[in-house]
Amino acid sequence: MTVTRSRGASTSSQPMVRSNSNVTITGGETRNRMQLTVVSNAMSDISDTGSVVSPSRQRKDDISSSSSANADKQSNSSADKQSNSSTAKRRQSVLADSKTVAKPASPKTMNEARKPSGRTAPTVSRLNSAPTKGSPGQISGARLHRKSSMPSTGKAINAIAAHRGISPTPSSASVATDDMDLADMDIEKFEKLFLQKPLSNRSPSILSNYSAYVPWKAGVPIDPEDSISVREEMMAVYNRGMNPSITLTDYFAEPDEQLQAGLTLIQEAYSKKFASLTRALDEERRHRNPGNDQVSQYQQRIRELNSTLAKEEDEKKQLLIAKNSLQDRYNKLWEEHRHCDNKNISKSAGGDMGTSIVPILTKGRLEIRNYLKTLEASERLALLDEFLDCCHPHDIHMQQAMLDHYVKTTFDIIGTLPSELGVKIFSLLTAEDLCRSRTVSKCWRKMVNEPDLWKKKCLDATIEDPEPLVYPSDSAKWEVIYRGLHYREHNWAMGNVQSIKFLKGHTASVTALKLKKSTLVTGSSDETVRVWDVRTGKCTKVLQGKGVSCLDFLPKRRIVTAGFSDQGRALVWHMDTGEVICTLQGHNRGVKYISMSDKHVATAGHDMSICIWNWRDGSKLATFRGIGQMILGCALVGDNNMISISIDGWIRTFAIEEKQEVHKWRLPENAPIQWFNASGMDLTCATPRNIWQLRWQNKYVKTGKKTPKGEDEVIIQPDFAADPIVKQKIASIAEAWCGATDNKKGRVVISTRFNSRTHNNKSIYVHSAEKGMQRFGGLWMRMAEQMATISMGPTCMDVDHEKVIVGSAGGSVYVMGFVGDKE
Amino acid sequence: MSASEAKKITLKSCDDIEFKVDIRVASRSILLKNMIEDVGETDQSIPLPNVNERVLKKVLEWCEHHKDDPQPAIEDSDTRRRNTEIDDWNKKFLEVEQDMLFEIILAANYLDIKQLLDIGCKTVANMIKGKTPEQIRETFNIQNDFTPEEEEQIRKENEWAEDR
Repeated sequence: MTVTRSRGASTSSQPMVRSNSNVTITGGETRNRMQLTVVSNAMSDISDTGSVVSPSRQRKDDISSSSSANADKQSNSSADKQSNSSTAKRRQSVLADSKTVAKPASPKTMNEARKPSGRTAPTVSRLNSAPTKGSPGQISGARLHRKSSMPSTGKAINAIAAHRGISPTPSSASVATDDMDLADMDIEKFEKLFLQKPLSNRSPSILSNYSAYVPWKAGVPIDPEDSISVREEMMAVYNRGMNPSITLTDYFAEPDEQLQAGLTLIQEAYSKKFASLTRALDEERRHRNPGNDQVSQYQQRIRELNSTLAKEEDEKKQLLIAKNSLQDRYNKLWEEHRHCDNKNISKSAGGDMGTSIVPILTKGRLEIRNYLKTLEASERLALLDEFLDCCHPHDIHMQQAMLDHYVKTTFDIIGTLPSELGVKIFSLLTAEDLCRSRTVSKCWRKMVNEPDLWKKKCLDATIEDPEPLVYPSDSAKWEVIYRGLHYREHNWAMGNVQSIKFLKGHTASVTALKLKKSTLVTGSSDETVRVWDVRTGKCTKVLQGKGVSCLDFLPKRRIVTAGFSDQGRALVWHMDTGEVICTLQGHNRGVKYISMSDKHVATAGHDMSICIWNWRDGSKLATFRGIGQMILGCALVGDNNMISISIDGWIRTFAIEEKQEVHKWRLPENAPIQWFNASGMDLTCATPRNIWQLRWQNKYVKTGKKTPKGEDEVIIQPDFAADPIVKQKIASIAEAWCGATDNKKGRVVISTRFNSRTHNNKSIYVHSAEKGMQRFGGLWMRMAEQMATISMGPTCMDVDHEKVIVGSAGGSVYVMGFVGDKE
Repeated sequence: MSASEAKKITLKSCDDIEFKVDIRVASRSILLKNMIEDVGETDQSIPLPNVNERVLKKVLEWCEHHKDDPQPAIEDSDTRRRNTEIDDWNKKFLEVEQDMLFEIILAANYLDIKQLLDIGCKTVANMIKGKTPEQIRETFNIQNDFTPEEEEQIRKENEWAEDR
C-alpha cells in the first residue's frame, strides 16, 4: 500500500491549503479514475506541518465519513463507495513529510530526476492511481505545499515587519499573491486542457466498450499492485522522455478491432494526459525552484530583519541608559536649584520629581512660586509665552476667562479712588503698613505722602493727650510730627527711656505724688508738699505740713490736700498762694489715703474708718466704719460715689448722700492687694502675682422729669450697685511695689521694691496691649548704676502720655520721658 | 417722617434702571434723606448719575438690611480708633470682586452712607494690613514702577517706621 498517511492535524494548518488549488481531473461519467497526488514538501525546512484537504468541493454523495486526515481508511473504503456511485468524485490531499513521502520505492527514480540540484529539502512527487490500471479517470492533485506555505510565509514576514514597525516589503507580499493566483490558474487550465475535454467528447458507446475490457470490475477491490504497475508504466514513459512510440497497444496483447479503437482512444487520452502531466510537472518544477529561491530570499530577509531587530534592541538599550542618566541629571539639578534658590524653602523630602508634573505641582508648589518670584519680569513673560505657545487653544480659552476674573479681583482700589477716600483708608493703617504701602508703586507713594493722611494720623494719635497738638505752619510737616509721635508711642510701649530729668527739693523719702496736666504735686516725709511745673521742672510752691502720707489736688481750682501719717488730720491749701483753706481733723490715727473731688475730700485712716469732708469749710459729712481693719485706700467718683479698697481684696462702693455702702465685691484671687490706682470708673489693683484691671459699667437712669418732647428724661450713671467687670488680668513678672496707670492709653507701669532683698531685681516695667510687659531700658539701662539703687527706688509714681514721674525713697523726684528717637 | 415711612420713592441708576424703595431704606443715604426732605414727596424718579444698576442694587441691599439701625451716634473716638473689626454680615456682604468693592465705596461716598463707607474702607485696609509690598502688588495687580535708586530712597524714608 503506497497511500501515505496524513500526519498533520487539520486544525493546525488550516490556512495552508485552499480547496480550489487542488488539481482535479474528472473522468466524466467513467467509473475509472486515476488520482494524481502531487505532494511537495518543499517547505519542510521551514515547517513540517501538513496540508489538509478541504472538503468544500467534495460532493454530497461522496463518502461523508471519509476523513481526509485518515488516508488509509479512506482508500480502504473507497472501493465500496465507487461501486455505489460511478460519478463519485473524491479529492484527497495527503500530507507527507520527507520521511513518509520518500517511502515508496517505485517513484524513486522520478523523485531523483526531479530533485532540484543543490537543494537539500526533500521534494517528493507521487502519482497515486487509486482506481485500477489503465482506467482513465479522475486525477486529483494535491496542492503544492509550496503554494500554500508561501502566503503564510509572506504573512509571517509581514507580521514580523509589522511588529517591528517596518512596512512589509511589497515584493514578498505580491509574490505570495501572484503565486496563489498562478496556482489557481494552472489548475483550471490543466483541467480544461488536459483531460476533461477529450474524455467528455468521447462517445458513450465507445466508452462503455472500453470499460468492458478493463480488467477491473465494479465491486472488485482495487488491486494495489495494479495501481502501482500503471503508475510505474506511466513513470517509465515519462522517464523515457515521454516517447510516444511506446503505446498502450504493446501493453495489451492481441487486441481486436474494437478494442484497438478503444485502446487508440485511451492511448490518445493517456498520451495527452502524459503530456499534460509532464507539463504540470514541469510547471511545478518551474514553480518550485523559484519558490525555493523565494523561501531563501525570505529567510535571508528574516535574517536581515533579525539583525535589524538586534540592532534596534541595542539602540533601545542605549537610549534607556541615556534617558536614565538624563533623569539623574535633572533630579540633581532640581535638587541643587531647590537648595540654592530660596532661603524660605525648607528641605523637603523627595527626589522623585520629574516623572510627572503632578507631583511637582502638589509637592513643589511653593518652590515653583518662589522660583517664579525670583525671575525678572522679562524672564517671567518669556516663560509665560513658552507655556501659552505650547497650550492647546482650548486651554487658552479657559485661561482667558480666568484672567478676566483675575483682573476683576485684583483691581487697584487705592490707586483708582479719589485721594480723600484713599486717605480715609490709609488712616486706618499703622505707620509700618503705610511705609510698606509707599514702596508699592509711584501712585501709592503719592497717596501715602498726602499731608492730610499724616494730619489725621497725628490727630488720632494725640486724641487722648492732655494738651492739644500744635498745628504746623507747613502741612508737609505733618509726617515729621507723626514720626515723633510714632517714636513716642513705640518707646513707651517698649519702655525705651529717652530722657531722665531730676526735680530737686525733697530731702527725705517721697511718699506721695500726683501729676495732672502740667502740674505735679509731691509730698515727702520731710514734712513738705511741693508743687512743680513739669514743663519747666521748677518747683513753684513749697507747702509746709507734717510727714505727708498721701495727697490729692484739683488742678483747675488750684486746691491741694495732703494727709499726714503721724496725726489723724489733713490740710487743704491753695497751691499758688500757699494759703491753708482748712484742716480736716477727725481721724484718731494717721491718714492713709486721700481723694479729692469738686465737692468732697475722702480720707481713709489707720483707725479703720473713712471720712467724707467738705473741703471748702472742713466739715465732716459722713463717716463709714466697720469696713475692716485693712483699708488700703479710697477714691471718690463723681459727686456721690466712693470706692474703698481693702488689702484682703474686698472692694466696696458707697453712696455719699445716702451715707451707706452700696455694694461689695471681692477680687477673685486669694492674695493681698499691694497697690491700687483708681481713676474714674477704672480701678487697677496689683497683687504679688497679678495686675487686675476693673471697670464699672454705666446704666441709664430715669430722672423722673420729662423732656420738652414729652419723653422720659434719661441720664447715664455709673452702676456701682453691680460688680465691676474684669477688663484684663495681667500676670505680673515682678512683684509690684508701686505703680501707675494710663487707662486711656491702656498702659500700666509698675516697679519692684528697690531694697537689698536678693529676689528684687530693681526694675520698672511697662505693660501695653501692643507689646505686653516690657522692662524699662534705654537711658534707664545706661544709667542703671545710678538709678537701680535703693535710694532711687520708687515709692510712688504717676504717668501721662509721654512720661513717668517717680518719687524715690531717697527723696529724688525724676521724670523719665519717652519723646525722642534714640535706640 | 413717620407718616412717610410706608411711602416709596423711585431711584434711577445711571443706566436707566429704576428701583422702587421704601423711603426708610433710602434714608440710610444722607444725600437721599436730605433730598427727600428738601423736595418733599415726589412721584418722579431720582436720578443717580454716578451709580450703575449693579452697584445700586448692592447698596440698596445693604440699606434694606440696616434700615432699622439707629443713626450713628457720635462714636467714642477711642473705641473707633481701635476697632477694625467688621461684623459677620458686613464681612460677607463685602466678599465681592475688588472692582465691585471699589464701586461700593464710591457709591457710599457719593450717597453719603457713612457706615457703609466705613466698613468698605476697613475692608480695603484689612487687605493691606501686614502685607509686604510684593504681596500688596499681587493683591491689587500693581506694577512696581520704581527704579532701584528710587526704591533705595524710599527705604531710607521709611526707616523710622521699622520695628526696633
